[in-house]
Amino acid sequence: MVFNILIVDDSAAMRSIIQKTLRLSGLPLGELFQAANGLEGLKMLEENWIDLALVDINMPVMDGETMINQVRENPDTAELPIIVVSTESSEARIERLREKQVQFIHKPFAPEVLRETIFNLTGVENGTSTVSSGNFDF
Amino acid sequence: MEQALYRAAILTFEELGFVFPTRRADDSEINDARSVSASVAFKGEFDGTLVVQVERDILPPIAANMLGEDALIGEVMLIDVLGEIANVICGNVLPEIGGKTAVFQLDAPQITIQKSYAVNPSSSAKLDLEEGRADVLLYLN
Repeated sequence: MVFNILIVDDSAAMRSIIQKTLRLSGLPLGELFQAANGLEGLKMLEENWIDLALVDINMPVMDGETMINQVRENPDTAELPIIVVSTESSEARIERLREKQVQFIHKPFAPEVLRETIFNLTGVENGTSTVSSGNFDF
Repeated sequence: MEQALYRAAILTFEELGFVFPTRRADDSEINDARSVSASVAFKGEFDGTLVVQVERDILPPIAANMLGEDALIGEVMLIDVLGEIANVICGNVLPEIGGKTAVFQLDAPQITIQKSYAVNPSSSAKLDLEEGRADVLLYLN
């Protein structure tokens, strides 16, 4: 299978960095979708099949935590694998995010960290998926 | 606070920009006429603004490092790169000052051109890079 991935970050530069890292990661990629805030991200999720979302926290219009709350409340997206990629360092806030079943990557990150986190979350090994789309275990 | 600012700034330039800044050894100042700045306002345990002011020449190589040599990097993307650097430095230095339990809300980076910021910051980190200078200034309200 290939993975359709949604990148939600208000920085176009950061979205490009993540996209570049994904293309070099060896992950079997389908379509890459981008959104500049949580509201745009939710709209992308409504309109497209997404296998994995990478979400920033501090964004205008709708922040990442609000977006994640709405994703988890929607039965269609409640099980979506999510990785938060953020500068957030508050232990309380990070713990609150982890309770929403998300992985957390702190900026700045080494490309290998993003790659390993995705591989661990998706069950991909050496470019081959071991799980079915939409059927991830946390 | 100064040590925390240097640590956060150097870490960010190294891991995000793949450049290796050093602490400025002399008293030389950034040339304001060739500078561009990104500021990030924050609220939380304490409020303030973090400013990253750089000489423009350092941005293209950093952007190329971050986005790839073959990426189409226009002026807007260069500015966005600087904004993200400021955002990441700010996000990393605040918990070092305020502690790991402190919660801060960061605003989106704002860009200004050719403006001098060097007026009594609460703390500063002055860095030299191969292509030019960068100042990181922290103002606490």
